[in-house]
Amino acid sequence: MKRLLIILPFFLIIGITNAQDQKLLSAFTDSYAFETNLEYDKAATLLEKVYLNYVSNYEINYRLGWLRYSAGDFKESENYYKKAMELKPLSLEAIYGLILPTIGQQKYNSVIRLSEKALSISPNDSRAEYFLGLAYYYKKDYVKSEKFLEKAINKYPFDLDINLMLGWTKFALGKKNEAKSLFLTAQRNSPYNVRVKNALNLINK
Amino acid sequence: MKKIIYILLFGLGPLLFAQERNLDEITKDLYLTGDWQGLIYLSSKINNDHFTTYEIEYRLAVAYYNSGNYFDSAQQFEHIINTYHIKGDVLLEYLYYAYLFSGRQQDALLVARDFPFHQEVKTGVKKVKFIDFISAEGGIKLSDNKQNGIENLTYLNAGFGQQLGYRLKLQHAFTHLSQQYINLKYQQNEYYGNIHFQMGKGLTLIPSYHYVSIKKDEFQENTTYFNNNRMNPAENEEPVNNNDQYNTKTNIFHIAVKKQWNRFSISPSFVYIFTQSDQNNAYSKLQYGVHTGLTIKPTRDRLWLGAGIDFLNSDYENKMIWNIKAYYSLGTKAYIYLRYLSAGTSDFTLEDAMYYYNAVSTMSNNISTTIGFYFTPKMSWYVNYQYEINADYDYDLDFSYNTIITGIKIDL
Repeated sequence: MKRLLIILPFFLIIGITNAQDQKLLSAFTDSYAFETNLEYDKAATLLEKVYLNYVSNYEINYRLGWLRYSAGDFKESENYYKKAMELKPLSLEAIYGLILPTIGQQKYNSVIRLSEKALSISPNDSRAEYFLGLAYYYKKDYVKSEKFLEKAINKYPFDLDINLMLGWTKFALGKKNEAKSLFLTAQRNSPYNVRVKNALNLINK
Repeated sequence: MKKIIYILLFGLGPLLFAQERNLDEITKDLYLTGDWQGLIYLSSKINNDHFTTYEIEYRLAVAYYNSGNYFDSAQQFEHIINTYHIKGDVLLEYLYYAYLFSGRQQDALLVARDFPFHQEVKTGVKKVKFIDFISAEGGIKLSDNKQNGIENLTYLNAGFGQQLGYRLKLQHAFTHLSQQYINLKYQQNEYYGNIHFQMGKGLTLIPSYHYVSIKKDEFQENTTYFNNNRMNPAENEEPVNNNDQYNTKTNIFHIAVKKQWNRFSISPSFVYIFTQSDQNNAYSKLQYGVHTGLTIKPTRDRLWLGAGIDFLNSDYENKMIWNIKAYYSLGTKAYIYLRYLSAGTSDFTLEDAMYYYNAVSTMSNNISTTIGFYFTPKMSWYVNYQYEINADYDYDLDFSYNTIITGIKIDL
């Protein structure tokens, strides 16, 4: 009888945990369905309904960071990503996640700090180099921007975003021929891309 | 028909808008179908509290913009930036053009300060334009009293503007005018410079300086009539030497602050006028006033109305002058500008001290009409007609001028 009294709570705990896991999984599954239909707000709201039970869960914070970012709520997105970073301080995906709403809010100094942190975890990471290049471009420090984007493009020479960003940086530095060559590479990557078309139109003006 | 649909929708308001999501979907549909008036109408009927999401507010700002309501669009974009702390490229570009098309060029430049390089290239905005524009104008003031020696006045002016940074605009103008006025032949050269310093959104500091140099030749020709007709014959007791020449210099210092709230602007100003002749005669005058302007929304922002009042103080007189103005945009290519000025004095300034009215006679009233035409967005031409009633109390004369001025301005 004593043994039964000891084992029962274990089964109860396991049962409750399983039910909670099931509830969380169900919330995640439904949120993906809404996301597929571009209903980010609904997807986030669904997860937020169960959030209080999983405040210390990395995955739910990370996912809510993405969904709130996609719904255009940068401030909330930032809060969720920060929480995810607290829970997994070495998570590169959380750092890069946080960079997105940070860019959305034009906090370029924070973007630089986060990218440097990413580089300290994963040296020579091209994403961190791209974000550093982007942040310095928006801060109008084109020399620094060029330095980081050159590093990134060596690893991904055919990447659309890096080619475009480095093209604009070169253009800003007066290196028009190099810029045009980069825009043309971007065009070969994505012939119908509006950003590329605009860039080529403006440089040919 | 559309309105009926909206009214029906509002009849069901409590049900339909029970959730913000519904509003989001309705505005999204209107946005995607380009129904700007529908979006604006909807927003005017709904409590502002409902507009709590970035997307809904953004759609409304774009709706204002695409329907040509640039004042409200600018206000809505400002609201979005302040509320959501987002200054994305698209928002900034909309706000830039909304300011530009509502005549708030310097606020637009302040927005352009945050442009990334590719947006600078796209919009063509530059931080420094050593020569921003050039302008030239000339005209003639036709006298209706030539029989008493009041001849026509000829007027020439050339100027240029500079943009030195995103906050600072300068304007320089050089003027020459000449006239024979009874027994005076005078030549007048002027320099006018002003600064528009944008201290913040909608707040401009406008200091100006105007220098006027007059060379007068006084002679006795044609004075017999006046010697017999002066109100105060004692003034003629001292004979005037043939071709007496003397110079007068006037320095004018002006400062104004202009504050704009959406369609309304107000600008208090202060002017100090100091005149000295080479015969050591000197006098000074103070002019202070306030000018306001309002763009009239029901005219689809085509009509702007302005009014101003100034007080003049000197040792000799205390006077008040006032004016009313109207500007009407005739589409995108032309405009008409009207002004009525009631003065009853002379030696006063107008339009941020750009014009200094220092005639020997006293201006009673002036009616001015300008019609302008844009050949291209960067090149405009205008013609101005003025009818001016004057009085000369020394000679007991009433007369009028009909003035024709034409000018051209080219933005570089």
